[in-house]
Amino acid sequence: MTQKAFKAYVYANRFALYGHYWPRVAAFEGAHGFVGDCRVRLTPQYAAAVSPHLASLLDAPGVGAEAGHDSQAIVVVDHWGNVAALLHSINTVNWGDTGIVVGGIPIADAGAINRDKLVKMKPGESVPNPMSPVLALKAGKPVLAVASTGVSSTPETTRLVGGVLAGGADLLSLMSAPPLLVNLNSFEPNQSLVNRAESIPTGAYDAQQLQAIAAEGVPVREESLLRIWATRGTAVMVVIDQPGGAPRAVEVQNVSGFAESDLMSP
Amino acid sequence: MKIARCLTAVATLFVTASVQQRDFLSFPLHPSIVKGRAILVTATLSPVAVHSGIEVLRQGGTAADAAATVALSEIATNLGSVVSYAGISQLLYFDAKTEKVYALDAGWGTYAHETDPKSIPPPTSASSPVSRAHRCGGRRAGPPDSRPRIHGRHRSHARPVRSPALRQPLPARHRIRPERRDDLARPGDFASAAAAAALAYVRGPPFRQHAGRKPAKGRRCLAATRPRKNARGGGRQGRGLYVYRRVGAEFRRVGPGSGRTGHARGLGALQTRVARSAQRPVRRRDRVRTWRRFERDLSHAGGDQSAVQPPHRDLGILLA
Repeated sequence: MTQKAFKAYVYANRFALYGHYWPRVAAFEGAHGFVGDCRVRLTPQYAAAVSPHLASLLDAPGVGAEAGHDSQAIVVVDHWGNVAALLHSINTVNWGDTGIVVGGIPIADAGAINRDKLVKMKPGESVPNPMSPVLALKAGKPVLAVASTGVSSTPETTRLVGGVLAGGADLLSLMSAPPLLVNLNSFEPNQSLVNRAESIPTGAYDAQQLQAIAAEGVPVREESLLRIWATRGTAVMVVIDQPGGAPRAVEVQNVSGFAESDLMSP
Repeated sequence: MKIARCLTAVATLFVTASVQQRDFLSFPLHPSIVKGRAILVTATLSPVAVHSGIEVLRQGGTAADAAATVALSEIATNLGSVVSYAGISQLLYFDAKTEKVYALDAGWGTYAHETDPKSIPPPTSASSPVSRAHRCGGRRAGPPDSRPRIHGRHRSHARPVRSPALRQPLPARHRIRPERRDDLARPGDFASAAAAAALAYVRGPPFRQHAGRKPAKGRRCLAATRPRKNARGGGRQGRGLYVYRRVGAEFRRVGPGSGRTGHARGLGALQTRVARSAQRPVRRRDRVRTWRRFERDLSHAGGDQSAVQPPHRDLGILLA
């Protein structure tokens, strides 16, 4: 990944994670007629309007953010070409508070992670969640399915989808590359998103790469590998070759990704 | 001589553990490509759950069947971990016949008829320190949607599968593929690494910022116990991943004819019985009856699924 691409990913991810909490972004959306629910942010018009102004929109202080909490990811391709990308989670606070299992059902305060959201919600509203499985189609046929879990699930999904669809990267290089991460350290007073350090794994980039990234104006902060393991996103991904529909996946056993197909005999 | 052998074995164990821990934590990672002719299942957490999904596909199930099977198997094999029958799920599904994409958001809701949520008194359960300290009092999210939605999803996208493998989350009558045996035999260093990572997560600023701010006054007592709990949780989850070495051993034992070789004892015998019962056809009448009983219990429990014993021992019922 070049330093320019790194910066583009960093800004895009920060906008995706923090943008809807940022007063400056809300003002921009109102001024350009992007009002209503979050679906307005999914349009090409929104992307075209926002992308030239990413740096200026992020260069403002604000509060609030949400990391990913989805826990397990599954992607399946079957004989008929159906594709399923599924995420599921208990949504508990770090392995739960009760540890009680009744009749085989863990009731470790499922959903407890949403307590802060419940304060702000009206009766009858659905509780939002950050789960974001992705299916990409080309000429009406599926070519890519990604499901990503963990604290940094959004940056990981962005990195993989961009890498395959826009960058044309091969699967092995993509999955073995260092992850992009959400920086969960506390905000300093009046700190803008542009000045916020990007967390990177210790030793993942050489000195020359780090210099180039710094020259692009992106501060970085090296984190320990244990910390990275705890906060990274973990994705499973299937690329489907069309025509024909032959699926390919990458197994990364060290980060809990497993795959099995009809070409393997048990 | 014996002492020398023992020392060599211990030294080998230490070297192996340190090498594996280094591999586990280092970058770049070492992934491998898995190609399929037409079918493929990939998932986090559980190689056994992935294997159950591929079995469903091999026996005629759709991607919807397999995804549901993998999800439920992950829960069954990781009880008390990060997934639950009382959890949420989100699915994107490409239906090849219609060439349409379906989205299913089986998330939490809030109760529609609350008039003043903040006035609800907090519960006095074991987790009350959290609730007492929290501004939302005793307000609860609505019951999770996952299980009924999985049922609905299956009705929408299922094929009439009469596979005996659907009767259990783990397809015990099939052998695992040889390459997986190393995974299943992975030593416990993974558990200690997972526990250490969990501690690194909760000791640093990320934990304090978990809810968007530092811990409130009333949370201090809880904050003291959380690192210990998280270390245990991380360790257990890490062990959970590789506790399959035991299950894996049973897979190897419970192959065709293994019941006659005298290997099947304890868990092995149980697996053999399950494997034999899987050969019997599942009667549609039994599935419907059991599912209706579950739904009746659920309605008596006021929709609170965590209070109901689901028919998860017979996965075919959930998927029927």
